[in-house]
Formats: sequence, C-alpha cells, structure tokens
Amino acid sequence: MTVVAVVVTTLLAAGAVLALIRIVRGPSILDRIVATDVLLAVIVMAIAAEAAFSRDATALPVLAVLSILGFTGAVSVARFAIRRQATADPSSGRDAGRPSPQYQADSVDLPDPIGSTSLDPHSRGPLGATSLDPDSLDPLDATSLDPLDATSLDPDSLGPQSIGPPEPPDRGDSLSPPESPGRGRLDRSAEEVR
Amino acid sequence: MSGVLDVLAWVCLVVGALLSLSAGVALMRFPDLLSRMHAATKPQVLGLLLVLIGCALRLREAVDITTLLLVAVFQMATAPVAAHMIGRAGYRAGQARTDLLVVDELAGTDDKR
Repeated sequence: MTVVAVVVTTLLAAGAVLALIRIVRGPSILDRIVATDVLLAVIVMAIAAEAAFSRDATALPVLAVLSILGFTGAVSVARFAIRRQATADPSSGRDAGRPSPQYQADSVDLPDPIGSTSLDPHSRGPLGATSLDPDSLDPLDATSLDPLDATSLDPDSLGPQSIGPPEPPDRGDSLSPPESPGRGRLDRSAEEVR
Repeated sequence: MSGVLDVLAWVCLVVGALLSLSAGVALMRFPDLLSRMHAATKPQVLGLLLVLIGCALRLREAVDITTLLLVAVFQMATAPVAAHMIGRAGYRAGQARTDLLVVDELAGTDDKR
C-alpha cells in the first residue's frame, strides 16, 4: 500500500509540475488555460487519491466544488479572449501578423477614459490635476485643462501661467512603459505560436 | 473480497496517475493548441474517472460513492463545454496550425477570419 501511495504521488506530482511549466511557458493565454485545466484535474485526482489511501471522506465535497470552479474559470477566460479578438479587428486575415495590430489596438483603447486621445501632454491634464495642489485649479487652468479643449490647444499657450503642466508629462511617461513590454511579449508569443 | 477490491483500487489509481503524467509530458511536447487540448482531455476525463473509481472502491459507502458520482457527472458535463470554447477561441485567434490539420472544415466559412 505504501509503495502504491508513493508511486501514485510521484506520477501525479510529475504531471502537475509539467503542467505548471506549460502554464509558465505557454505562448498564448489559451495554452495556459488548457494547462490550468490539466493542473486542476491533477489536483482533484490527488485529493481523491488521498481520500482513497486514508479511507477518509472528509475532502470529497472539495472535489465537487473544484470540478465546477475550474469549468467556470476556463469558460470565462476563453470568452474574454474571444471578445478581445472580436472587438480588436474583425476583418483582417489570420495569417498576416494579425495579433500585433490587435494588441496595439487594445493598448491604445485602454487609456482612453483618462483622455489621451492625442499624444499632446496637456490632454493628460485632468489626470494630473486631480493629484495637484488646489492652487493650480484656478478657473483659468481648469478651463484650459478641460479634455475637450486640451486637444485643440497648442502646448505653448499653457506653459507659463499654470503650475501644473510639469507634472502631467511625467504622468504620461510613467504610464506608457508598462504597456510596451507587455505588447512586445504578446507579439513575441504570437510569433512563437506560428 | 476486500483484498480484491483494494487491488482493483490500486490499479485504477496507478493507471489514472499514469494518465496525468502522460498529459504533462504531452503538454510539453505537442506543437500547438489543439494537440495540447487533445492531450489535456486524458486526465480530465479518463484519468479522473479511474481515480474516482479507485476512491469509490476504497471507501465503499453509499454517501461517498454518491459524492464521487456527482464529481464525475460535473466533470464530464463541463469538460466538453470548456474544450469547445477554448478550441473555438484558439481557431479564431489563428493559433491552430493549419499545416498540421488533416481536414479543416472551417476553412471556407466565416469562422476563418
């Protein structure tokens, strides 16, 4: 019995470690979902095997919960992936470097709620103005930092009279770097799949 | 009788664990998403059912066997749905390698975008 327990534990652990390596390395998110499902199945098998070895049925309800939760997670992530594909670029072909414009479109879409429709640093003004001291929020600056007007203003007209503007470009610079490595990694993974 | 059931339970557990190991190896070795999904179904359905049968052969009580049956029903009802959605998402994302496919029935349809 002990020998069987050791053998079963070793086999399950080897399968779990290999699935975990696939989760880490998996080029796309769908590979990671598949490997996560395998890992979950291995975990359910390990709990059932433990119940079989110890003849203790305490952990059996956990198995029912796990078998439903794993399905929920897999389906929701798969739907999320589909929706991101569908909203990004419905008309392009699948074999002409498609993932890279798609993920670029995503990363352009993301900052939109904070008003970065242009690369003008003043268009990021409302984001910076919320964290500034109240002195920079006098009516003149408040109107000039309006997101609708800011895109139409040239940068020089705001420069000397407001205290705020040195801050928003820093905000803009600190927001952009986390996006570009992610995009590069997604591109690389898409090429690796191909 | 009890010894025979125990031996049967050990066999089921070891075979199920072997399927988990084979799925792990296949996840590392297979080239694309669809073949990895093929490998992933082995521990999800057959391996899990074997381990649950082994567990039921060890526990031998009606309440426990009912719970194990419930787990098996959940798993067998949900695994095809999840696999269908993952496969569809993967095909639409262009992650199915068409050079490895024998038949591509979606080649001329709207699903191939």
